[in-house]
Amino acid sequence: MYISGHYFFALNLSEEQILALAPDDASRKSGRGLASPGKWVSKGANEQAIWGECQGSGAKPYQTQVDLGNLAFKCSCPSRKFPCKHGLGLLLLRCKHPQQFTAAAAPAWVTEWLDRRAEKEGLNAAKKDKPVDEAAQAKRLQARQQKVGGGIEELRRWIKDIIRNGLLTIPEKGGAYWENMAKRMIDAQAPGLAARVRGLGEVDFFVEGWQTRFLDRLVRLYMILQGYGRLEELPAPLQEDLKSLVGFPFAQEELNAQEGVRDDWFVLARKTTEEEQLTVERNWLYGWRSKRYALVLQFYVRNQVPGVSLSPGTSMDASLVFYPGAYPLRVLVKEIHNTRLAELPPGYAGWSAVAEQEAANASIYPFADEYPYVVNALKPVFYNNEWWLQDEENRLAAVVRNYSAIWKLLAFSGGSALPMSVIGRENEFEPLGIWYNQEYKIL
Amino acid sequence: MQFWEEIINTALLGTDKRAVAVSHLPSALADASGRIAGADSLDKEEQFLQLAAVAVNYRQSGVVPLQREDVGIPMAPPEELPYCSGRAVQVLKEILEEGNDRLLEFWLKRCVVTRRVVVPDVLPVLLNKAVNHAWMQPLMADAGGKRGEWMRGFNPLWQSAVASDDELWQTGTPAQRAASLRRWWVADPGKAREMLTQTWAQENASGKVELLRQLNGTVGPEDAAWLEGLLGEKSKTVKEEVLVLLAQIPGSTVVERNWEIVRAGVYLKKERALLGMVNKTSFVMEIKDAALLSGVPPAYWETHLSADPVTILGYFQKEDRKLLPFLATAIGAFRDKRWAEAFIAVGEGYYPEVVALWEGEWSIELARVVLKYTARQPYQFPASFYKGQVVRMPAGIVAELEKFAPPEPHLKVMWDKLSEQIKRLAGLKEQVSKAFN
Repeated sequence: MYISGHYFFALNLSEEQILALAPDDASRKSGRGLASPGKWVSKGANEQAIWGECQGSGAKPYQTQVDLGNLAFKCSCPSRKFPCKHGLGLLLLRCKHPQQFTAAAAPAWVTEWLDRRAEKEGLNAAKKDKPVDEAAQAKRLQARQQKVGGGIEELRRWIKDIIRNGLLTIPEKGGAYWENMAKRMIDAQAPGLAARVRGLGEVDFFVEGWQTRFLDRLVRLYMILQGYGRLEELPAPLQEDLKSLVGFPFAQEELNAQEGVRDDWFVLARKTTEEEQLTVERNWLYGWRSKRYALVLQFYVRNQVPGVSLSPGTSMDASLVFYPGAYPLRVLVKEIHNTRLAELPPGYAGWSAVAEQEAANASIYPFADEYPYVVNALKPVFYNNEWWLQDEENRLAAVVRNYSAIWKLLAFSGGSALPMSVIGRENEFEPLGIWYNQEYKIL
Repeated sequence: MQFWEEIINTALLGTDKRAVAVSHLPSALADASGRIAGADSLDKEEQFLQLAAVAVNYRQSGVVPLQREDVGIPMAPPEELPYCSGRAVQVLKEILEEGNDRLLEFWLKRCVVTRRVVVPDVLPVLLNKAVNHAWMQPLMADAGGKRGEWMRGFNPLWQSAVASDDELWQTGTPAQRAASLRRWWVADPGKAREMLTQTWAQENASGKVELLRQLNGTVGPEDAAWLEGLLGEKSKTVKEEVLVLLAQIPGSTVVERNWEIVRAGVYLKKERALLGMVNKTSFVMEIKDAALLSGVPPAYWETHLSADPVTILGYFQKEDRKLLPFLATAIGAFRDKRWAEAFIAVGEGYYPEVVALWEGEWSIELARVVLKYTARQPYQFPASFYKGQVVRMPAGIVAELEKFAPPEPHLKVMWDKLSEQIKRLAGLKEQVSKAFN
């Protein structure tokens, strides 16, 4: 039986996970304050939703409701924050005192909202079911390919200008230099290339070694342009990679139709960045049995709740569909069957094994900026005024510059080697988490 | 990686000024580089980019991790005390998120008293915080345990945070020296005085002022002679600070001169009333400048008026309640705890300088006196006030908060909100107590 990931997670969200939904610290604090039974005039729950009336400063209590189906919030309070403190408080209360939420028939204000939502979803589904005008679709695709082709040529000239003039003056370029070209790529309907152009401007030019980091990115971008230009000569998976790197989306329906890889997927880390008013969330997973790494990439507007809520340190029995590619990493979460506490996963023996894997990856997919790895035993050491991660054969890989959690890592380590998840490439890695006393700790 | 340097150097200067010397590339790349160089369709920029693409992949695919047998890290010694509970850590995280230093201090003290140490998760946050919060340093020296001690060896900032006061006094920044003098003066005033007098001549005027300010509220009769000697200092600001300190020492010339004026103007007068049938004692207050009362050690009144503190406070109350703030100032300046208790007992409201002399958690009576006064003035006593004081409030007062609500509706709304915050903070305090029980 299919269990919606949203539904499952909403019912089982931990206090920490609920607080992670808060738009800011003030909401988190206020939400905590509202997580006591005394604050709620009434409360109830059924399979679909939880609801409650919270006495605010006004005469009439605020009506707060949470749709557990896809973790949507609604509240009659005037707050513009989303979710508001009442929504968070209600979820926290449900988490702390589930016995307070006895099964009940939903009041009219809840059922009306749920009905409206169901109606809207029905309309969306109907929209999807509409027959596709294939001729028009092909025409649109052709027009887009032309635009992309034009954009690629423009980008190629721009890259060549940089190479002709040299990188010495690159650190002096202002934000507009990168942004203008990124916008040109957006106009050319190549958002993947736009993101890569922005990535060039995000290199930290104040850190030693920026020249290599910048040139690596520039060269990878050039390789994408070259690869895309010879798409038909390449193997099919790499073709998919290149289309995706340029910015062509993959049809979700096709992915949904696939079976998926069922495994116990351990959530190694979640990293969020802000890009163009969008929150980009990268969740790195590791499959126990398949020994595969996976990336759940989600984009959402600030304050919107992501489609799937994953909590680092937990393991979920789930079916994931990999996007096609030469070294597939990105996945669609098709079905979540269960979650459980994570055990210690098997990882790479040391840096030599990681280097071998890196070489194997590069031979089939040379465009990646970073890869995740679990290494069985690493400890932080200080050498040449830098922090390094040392494996059991005394091999070293540098910790990324300005790594903020180095002291936390050191505190856990106490001079001992620990199983560690890292992300990076070549000889520079960022520690993501460690297993300390059999428990996964996020760094 | 000479070949990569060659690529980078060319990239830095630009292909207009430099070309890659193919001879610098590894032999494994000879075939690829030869084909790229021989491709007439490619301009020099594309030739470089393609060579660089080959070189990047060659470099990345051939990584051999650095191996050093001589690099290591000492092992942290095992903890001698048990870690605090998970519940205690959870409350600590909430307190840190709350940013309430007084609750943090309460947490750390409970941790030290119950002979526990903090878990590694929170150690760096606390060590970082202790760098700028001197009061945390002695607590962290204990609560940080062996792991904390080991961690300090890696971060010079953390090391200076626990350096001895002796070291800080010799080599610290002006702020560190001032803070160490203050701690020292409380812990070992004799030695602190000796060290200060040794270096006094080398200090400049602003340094002297800063150091004298640290002694505020800690000087006693044994400091009078040294301070009297400083009245000959050239700097006017230094002399002013010296006078401030002397005014806190019973028996100093400043205090005695003030007392000479006050005692003559405040006295009890015995009179006969009802045609000489009854003896009556009247309290006479003839001083024009009531502020002089704040310079009189409270104990002086007991001898002068032959009465106990509550009776004497009663005289002043009856004469004019506006005189009481001056007495409160005197109680605070001369740190007279007996008089502080009497002042609280007469229920004259909240005077921070008096309440500050109360040691430990407030009694329920004191909490009532304070809240009765502060609840009516939410503008003067906003949330930040309660944030600092909640740790001193007894748990029982939480149930009485509604009683202190001001009658004015707009003030009541404010008090209701403040009450919620007090309850939340008091709840955290209670959780700390439970977590360490």
